Amino acid sequence: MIASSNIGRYLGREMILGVLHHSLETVDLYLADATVLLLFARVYDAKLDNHLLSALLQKHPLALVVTGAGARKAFDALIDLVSTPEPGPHVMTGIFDTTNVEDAVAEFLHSSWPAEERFDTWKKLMVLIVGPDEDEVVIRASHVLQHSQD
Amino acid sequence: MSEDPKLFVRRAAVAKAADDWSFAALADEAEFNLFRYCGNDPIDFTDPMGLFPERDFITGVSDVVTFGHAEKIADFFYPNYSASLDKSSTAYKLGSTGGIAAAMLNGEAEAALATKLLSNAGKRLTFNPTIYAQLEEQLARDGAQSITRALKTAEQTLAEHKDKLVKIRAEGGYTSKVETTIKHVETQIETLNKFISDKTIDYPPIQPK
Repeated sequence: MIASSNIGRYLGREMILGVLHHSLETVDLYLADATVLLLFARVYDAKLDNHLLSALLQKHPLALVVTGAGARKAFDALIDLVSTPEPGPHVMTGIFDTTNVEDAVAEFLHSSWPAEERFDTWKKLMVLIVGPDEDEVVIRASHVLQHSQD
Repeated sequence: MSEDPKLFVRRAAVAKAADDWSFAALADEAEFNLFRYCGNDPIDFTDPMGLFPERDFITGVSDVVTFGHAEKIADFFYPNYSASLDKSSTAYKLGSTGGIAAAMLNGEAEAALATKLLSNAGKRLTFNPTIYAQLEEQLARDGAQSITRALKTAEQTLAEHKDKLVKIRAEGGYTSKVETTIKHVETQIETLNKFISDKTIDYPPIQPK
């Protein structure tokens, strides 16, 4: 992950904002205790982003929700990836079909939950922004998260 | 009729006595072709044991599985079919046994599926107390709008996944993880509805995006 910051807590859980460019940057991420919002600040690039989704799924996040400009294609790819018999704990999948950053982040905070059997391990809410034009998006997402702090 | 090029080797023909030079399985078959299968008529006959061509075996299976209709259908197309069928033959009896086994397996699979559906239906009726507790905190902190919005999002998530499930099934893909997500989202919706009902929350209109 190129840049990340810990932005307070929401309902007792850590809120983390980060920026991703490609799958290699996921190596150090620990997602087994996190619900993740993947916010596409650019159109979906199947060549790069299928690897990115696959790499994120291998980290077994509690939930992986896609939103933004590439959300529709990302969701198609995400469902394709979970539609193969891979072992591992259940990852909740989702899509917020909007390009409005504030709406997407607020929806993520208010309506993303892990599956019941993994609920007790939930410690983090992570917003990961994907794309080259991330600066403005980061500021907007950060704004929503800061105003949602406990 | 041209020779069947498929490489079916008949066990009986290969296992004959050393002094029998022909490859025929039966006395009236002058057989020299090792690769010939079911009298060169693989459409009408089968040879599951590699011993002799048989039609009675298949009819035995079909008659059990189709409650006797296989023979009637065959009679429609081939008027002398029933007359030529030997129901006392070992092949027919073996076929019947196979058919009963197949029907039982099918029955077991259906019973298992019914149990699973009942179990899932039961799970859908329960709500998640952990989410319920969290919703209480969320209501106090972010207001009713955040709860009703969460319900709307969950309903959209459910619709998206159900749509995907249909497509995956049509393509013969693996659906278990999508089904699990659907089950959990249904439980979430159940929990949200119970919460909204318990707290008598007014449904504030969702602002268009």
